[in-house]
Amino acid sequence: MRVLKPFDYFEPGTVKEAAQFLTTHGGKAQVLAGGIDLIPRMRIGKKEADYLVNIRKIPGLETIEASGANGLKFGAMATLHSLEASKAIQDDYPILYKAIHQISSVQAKNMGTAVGNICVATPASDVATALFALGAELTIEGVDGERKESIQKFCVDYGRTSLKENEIVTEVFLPRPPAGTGSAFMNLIRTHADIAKVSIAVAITVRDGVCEKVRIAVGAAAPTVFRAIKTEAALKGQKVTHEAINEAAETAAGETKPITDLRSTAEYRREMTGVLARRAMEKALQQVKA
Amino acid sequence: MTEKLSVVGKRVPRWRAHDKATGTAKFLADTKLPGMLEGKILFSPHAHAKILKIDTSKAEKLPGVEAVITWEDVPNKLFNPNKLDLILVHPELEFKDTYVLSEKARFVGDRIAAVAAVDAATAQEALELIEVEYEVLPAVFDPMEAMKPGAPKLHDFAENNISVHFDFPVAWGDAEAGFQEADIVVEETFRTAKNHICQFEPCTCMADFGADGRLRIWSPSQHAFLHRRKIAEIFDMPEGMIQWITPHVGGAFGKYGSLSIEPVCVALAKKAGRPIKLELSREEDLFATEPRQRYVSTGKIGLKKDGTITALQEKIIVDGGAYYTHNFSTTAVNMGGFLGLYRCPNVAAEATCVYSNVHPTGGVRGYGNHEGTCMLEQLVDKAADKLGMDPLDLRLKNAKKAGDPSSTGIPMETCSFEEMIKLGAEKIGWKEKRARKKEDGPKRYGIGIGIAMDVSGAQPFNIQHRNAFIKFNEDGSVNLLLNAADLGQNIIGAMAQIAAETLGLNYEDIHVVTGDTDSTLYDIGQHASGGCYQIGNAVINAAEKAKKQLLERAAKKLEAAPEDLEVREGHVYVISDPEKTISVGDVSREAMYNFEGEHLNISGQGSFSPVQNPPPLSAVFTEVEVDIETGEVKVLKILYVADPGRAINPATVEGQLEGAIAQSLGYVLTEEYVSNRETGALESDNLNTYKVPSTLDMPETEVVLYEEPVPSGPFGAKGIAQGAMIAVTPSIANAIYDAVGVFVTDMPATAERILEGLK
Ligand SMILES: Cc1cc2nc3c(=O)[nH]c(=O)nc-3n(C[C@H](O)[C@H](O)[C@H](O)COP(=O)(O)OP(=O)(O)OC[C@H]3O[C@@H](n4cnc5c(N)ncnc54)[C@H](O)[C@@H]3O)c2cc1C
Repeated sequence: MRVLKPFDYFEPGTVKEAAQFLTTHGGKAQVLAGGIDLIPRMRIGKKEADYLVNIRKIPGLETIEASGANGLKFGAMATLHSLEASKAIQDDYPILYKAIHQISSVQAKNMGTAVGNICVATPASDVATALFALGAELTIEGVDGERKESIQKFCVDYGRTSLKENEIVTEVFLPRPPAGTGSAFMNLIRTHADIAKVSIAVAITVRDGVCEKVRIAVGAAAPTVFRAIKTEAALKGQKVTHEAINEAAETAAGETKPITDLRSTAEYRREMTGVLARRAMEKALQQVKA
Repeated sequence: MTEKLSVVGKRVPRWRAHDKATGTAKFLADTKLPGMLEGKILFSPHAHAKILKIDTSKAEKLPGVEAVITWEDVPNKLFNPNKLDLILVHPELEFKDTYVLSEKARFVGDRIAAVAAVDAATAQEALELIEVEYEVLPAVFDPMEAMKPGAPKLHDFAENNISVHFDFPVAWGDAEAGFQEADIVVEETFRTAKNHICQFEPCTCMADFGADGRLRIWSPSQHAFLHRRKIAEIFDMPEGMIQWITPHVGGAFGKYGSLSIEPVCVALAKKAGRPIKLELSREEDLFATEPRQRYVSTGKIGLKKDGTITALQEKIIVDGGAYYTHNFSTTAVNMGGFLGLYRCPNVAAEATCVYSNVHPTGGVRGYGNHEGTCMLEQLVDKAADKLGMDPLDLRLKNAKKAGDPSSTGIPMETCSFEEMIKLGAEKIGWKEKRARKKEDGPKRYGIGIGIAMDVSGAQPFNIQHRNAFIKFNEDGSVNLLLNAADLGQNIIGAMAQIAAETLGLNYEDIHVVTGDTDSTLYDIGQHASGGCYQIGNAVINAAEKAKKQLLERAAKKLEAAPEDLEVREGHVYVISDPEKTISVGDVSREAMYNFEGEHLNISGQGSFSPVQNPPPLSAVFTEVEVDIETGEVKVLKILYVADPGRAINPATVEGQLEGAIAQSLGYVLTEEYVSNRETGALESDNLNTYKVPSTLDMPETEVVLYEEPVPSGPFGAKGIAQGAMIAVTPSIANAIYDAVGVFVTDMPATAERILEGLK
């Protein structure tokens, strides 16, 4: 049976205050955002906390701000729903929109945050996969001040981030994709309300038929979401022909380190990484042409 | 039979729909009795183990704990949780092998002990304080391994873990000769899916020994009277000392055809001397209540070149799990479906029921017929392929007709398979779609068909005995007393419609009393789609008797003969002179309140024991899209042609068929009940891992009701609900076969398996 053990609850008014509280209580306190991951984990005993630090009341954390040519910022308490509904995200970061839009649970999107999603550091995160391909950069605050980190560096290992016990992610920045960029997000699921067996996000910038820049992110096919670095390197500077894409897709499959679990098998995940990578690249290129 | 119907056949609101839609309906989870304790069960962590010692003293000392029970506290009596041994013609084929709590664990999840405490959290904490010393025994998880000499033995009486080996009891012809005669023979081995029904409401029960010494049980049973008798036997009580109350049921689909946690709840109530509520979590419901049998089954079909079926044969290994429950009965029904769907002169089948240390299985929607028919229907498509025949034509060639025996062996009053198949084919564009180009990039398209016949009860294999009682109120409304559980099939609403139609009243005039063994007459319960057909006939019988009394009283008032009267919308009319009329309420009231001393509460008791068993028929057409690079199957459209005899409430019938489509989708594509190969523990033990489709996964559906009323049915109705999945499942499998040539023998056909099949 699931029993939620008693805990104390704290609502700081500022990030500093929150960080202070986390410092005082060491590993015994947990940040609470939407709580849709944390609370169920506490119920089944997979996470323990004597204190929950709800950051909902901290002013400004829920904002989504498109800062023109630069890019877009959103705060730690921006819910998945508010991101999905943002016109700026729909227009300029469609793969983030897609990754969120395909989540079937309205309740999860109303309560859950994108930052909470990436802090869980699950390899099966669609949202993180899209953010990897968008080159997201995080702002992290602790008692000693602020640091910035790319999402790849942030996701260290299965279920592990670079966060220290007393740090909080406050903001995510998405650089604006250069002109000539196409992108695509795809995943494979058993039913609509399911976590992905594999997900892929691609953003590719092409000039005169040559790949200038590319990010290929893969979810659920290794201990963390990862960028297919070798594949990206092989493509960069190349003419984006069908052959080049097919070859790249194969390389991407080779970069996976999948497991077999109840959702799928390692072989299937590896093979599908290739299929989805190819399809996603083709789709992204069509966008560039259009 | 009158064709002018005013209530039957109408889409009236279903019984208690308002309460459910507005959330005011009380389920057991919402119910609390004064002084009630909550219970929790300690389940075995081992697949096979003997309890050497069990120390409950620490648990008993925990504040808030009122009772702890182990095998030493419960009756030393074996039982079978399946009710069928009470009504089966061959009770010797049902084995008693289960204790309320066991001294020996035979699967991960077997019931070892239970605690009652002031709340569930305390009871849970107490479970962790129970110290059990187990002698872990070698376990076996596969039926083939379990049959080998020297395999770990689960039950003393079962040599090589075989509980029973039996041949189809009513085979006909000579199967060997039939295969000799055949021009082609197709043979395949299938492993069916051990799927769990995942009803909305996890299994919940309450029990209380009242100050009057009577035991009250609240449980969403499908068989209140039969389960009451089981409890009476286990706890050595007279049946009359037990009152069984059936509350709102949050889904059953056959699982409450078995006793589940009631015996534990009763034992706790007895020990604690207080009311107990026992409620399983979703995880517990998944591992500790019965999924479907898994069959490892080899089916064989022989045909002439022109498509005539000459022989059918089935050899089944029943992977039934750690306890016997429904092993025999579902398997016999499986054979009936496999051998009895088509005209075939020579048939034979045999089955071996095998124990192993996996989760015990039970009877789930379709009850064996689902699996048997599915295998047959897939074999038919493979045979059609071999013969170069359209599978539709092959079906038409061998389809049964009125007068032929149904799968129960009883001749059918009606049977229009041919018309139904042709109608469906026309509507979906079968010929064109079979012939069209099937490719679009990596996408392949396919269309498949499945047909099925089910039952309207279990005649002639079980005792089928139903009763209903009707009594008039002063205002002319009636109470209809019966014992039927509304499992979602809206049996109560349908019975009210039948009563209203027979009596000449409005639907709103029928107030149903149900769900209480004290205040209703005996009924065998909800199984085998028997409710509407059988109870419906009992209701008509009761209504006719009450109506006779009503008309006799009215005749005096109207100065006419009873046979010259009719009742319409709550009024009695003289047929030849409709100006002469009296309201039913006036007749009823006068019968109660008069000074002539001729008092009567107009009423009638009706009973029914069937002779016939008319099968509901289905023909289902499915279109799929298969991605040959990912193996993903997308069901695009399902067209369901069903013959329910008469749809008492068409909206309900459609709901049953659409719900069945959703369940078949899960069965064929995603629902996989997976146990760990080393430990035997259930791995797919929550809805995150055990994947049930949702509304989002539903394809386009179209339901066509091909109503052909049966003479023996109430207003022509047959059963419909329990057999509703049967034709859907093979139609999906056959559509996949058409699209990509992958013949699905292992369900579910996940993307991984389809892709494997494509290689
Ligand atoms: C039904 C359902 C369906 C879902 N489907 C999908 C899907 O299809 N695709 C997908 O990608 N995801 C899916 N998810 C996952 C979902 O997106 C995440 O669980 C959710 O976004 C977590 O956000 P939260 O705000 O609720 O986090 P919480 O549960 O509040 O927190 C999660 C963890 O992150 C930490 N944390 C949160 N915010 C911060 C912060 N600012 N700084 C530091 N630490 C922090 C918490 O301490 C905790 O350990 C689904 C979840 C559910 C429940």
